Amino acid sequence: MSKPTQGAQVSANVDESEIAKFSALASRWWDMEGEFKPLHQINPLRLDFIAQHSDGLFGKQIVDIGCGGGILAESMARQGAKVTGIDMARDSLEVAKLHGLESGIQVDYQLITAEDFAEQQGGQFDVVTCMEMLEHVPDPESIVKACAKLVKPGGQVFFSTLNRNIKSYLMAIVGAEYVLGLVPKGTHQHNKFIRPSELIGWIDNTPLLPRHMQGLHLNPLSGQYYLSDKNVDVNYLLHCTNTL
Amino acid sequence: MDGTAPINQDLVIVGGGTIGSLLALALADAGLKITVIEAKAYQASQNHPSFDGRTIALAYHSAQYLAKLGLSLDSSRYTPIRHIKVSDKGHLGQCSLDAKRLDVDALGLVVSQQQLGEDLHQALSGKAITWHCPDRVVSVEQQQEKVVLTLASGQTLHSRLLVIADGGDSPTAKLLGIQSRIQDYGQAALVANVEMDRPHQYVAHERFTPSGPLAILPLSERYGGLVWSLHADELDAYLQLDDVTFLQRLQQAFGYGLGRFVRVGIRAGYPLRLVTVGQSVHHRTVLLGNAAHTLHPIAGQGFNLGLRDVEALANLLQSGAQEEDIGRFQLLHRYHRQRIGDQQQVIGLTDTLVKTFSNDFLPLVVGRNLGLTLMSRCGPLSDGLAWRAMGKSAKEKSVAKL
Repeated sequence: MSKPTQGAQVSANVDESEIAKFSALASRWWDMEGEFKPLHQINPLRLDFIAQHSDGLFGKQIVDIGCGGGILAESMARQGAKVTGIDMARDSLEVAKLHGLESGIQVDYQLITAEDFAEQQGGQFDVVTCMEMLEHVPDPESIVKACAKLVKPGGQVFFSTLNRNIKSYLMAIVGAEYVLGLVPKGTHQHNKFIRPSELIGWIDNTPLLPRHMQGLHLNPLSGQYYLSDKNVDVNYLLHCTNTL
Repeated sequence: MDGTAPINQDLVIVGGGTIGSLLALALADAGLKITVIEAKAYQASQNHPSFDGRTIALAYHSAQYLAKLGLSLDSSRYTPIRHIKVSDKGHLGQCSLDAKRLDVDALGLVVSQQQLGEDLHQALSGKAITWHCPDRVVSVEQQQEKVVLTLASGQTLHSRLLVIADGGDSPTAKLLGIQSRIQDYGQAALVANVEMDRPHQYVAHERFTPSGPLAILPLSERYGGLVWSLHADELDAYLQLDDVTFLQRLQQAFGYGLGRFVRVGIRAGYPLRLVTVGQSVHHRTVLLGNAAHTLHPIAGQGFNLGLRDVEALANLLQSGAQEEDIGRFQLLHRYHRQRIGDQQQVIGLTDTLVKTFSNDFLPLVVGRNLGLTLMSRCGPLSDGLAWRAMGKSAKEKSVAKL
């Protein structure tokens, strides 16, 4: 994996073209039939996975890293969690805030990188979530480190991302972007996808301990998504506990 | 005694209707401290259920569960359905399901809501359950270890677990900020009881007409419970017709499969909607019955789905009753996991049926005609439908046949 070049923008672990991509789509975050429809469809599954391994979300302090338009952040707050959502796409955060005003669900949204936030708020969170985000940044390992720093001793950290292999290329890029049109073309770059072994390698350099991993699958007949243990070939979720 | 001192409970059920009473009855002997809050005072029972009582079709499985809870389901009050006829007006397709062929006594039972309510009330009398009736919830607060409820009477209750069963578009769910999603079908149900000039022979009819499905369930000998779906804007006209004209219209739409209709009781109408909540399990809180999902009555699945939810929750709470906290996350999460599949399937199936059978667009008419013809030709398929109508899954079917 190439390290980002040294320079003025490097301290922010951000890919400007990714920010531009999400900014252009910002207004569609809460369109249930729009570009982010798959995220709305998989959200109950992610929420359930996170709640299950956190022994419920009520009263928990949570930070959602790469919160986008707030789909996951808001659903966790709806379960009674105190949620902070951070992202580097200003337009997405504006949409998230506006939606929060409409739904009456309170989430604290902040424009800040995971690394900077970890400097300020280390060890403050019962639960840290970082979903569908690692494959969009130049240095994912740095994000993993920031997550480990943000979580309280004994707390839970959740990652989800896309595996890198022929099957994920066919399904997540060719299938989802070009054939089925589930997500806009150019949403993902296959070379930025992350193998579970790579993710676990980065996690092993932190006090986090991987505990549960499940694959996200789409039933092509019913159009329903589901989580299962059968494989983690394409989209997968990982639960870790802070051993400190 | 200070009436405002908080009372500590294990379980508070808001809504003492059919679903709330069922849960209370199922858990009455589990050693839990249970309170039910019901807004309407119980009406002193009349000896005979009135001609105008609303009816419920109990799936076979639901009837079995009620019997297990100690209700005696004698056939003078719980009319067995021995045969179901499904037909499509003006088309050939007809599909019929028979109890004998499936080797069961009845495909289901029909009971008036009032009768079931009385039987539940009877079964609950003498049980150690506290009732606040009439009373209602004015505020709810979820805390880490309990839910705090304040009642209109000023009483405060602390409970490990709150079950909300106060009906569709639930006011208590609203207090918690749980929003309902409402999908209006643009249809209304006209509900009334009718009298025929000959016995119904324990046959339930479901007939699909251009305006929507029309069902007549067998009640006592020559009485039937009518549920007629109409376009929403036609409802008022049908409600205002004089009895004779109404019976003529009904006869026209239904045909003579049950003989001649000679009398109709008071007609009531209500809008047909699908009301669901995003999630029926929240912190120390479970939504049950219509508060969780209000379905179109097309397949008669709403009450039976609610009853299966009650059964699953009661079983889990019973097994968790020995432990200290029946409101804890992992127990409720297990309930959610157990029930989400059935809930989504029945809601999806009902929604599809409504959209398929209330559309007068020609290709759909042809399709549904073929679909019905095929179902009656093809034994296993229609048997599958019957088992579902009886409230069982394919898995249970194999067990039931052993």
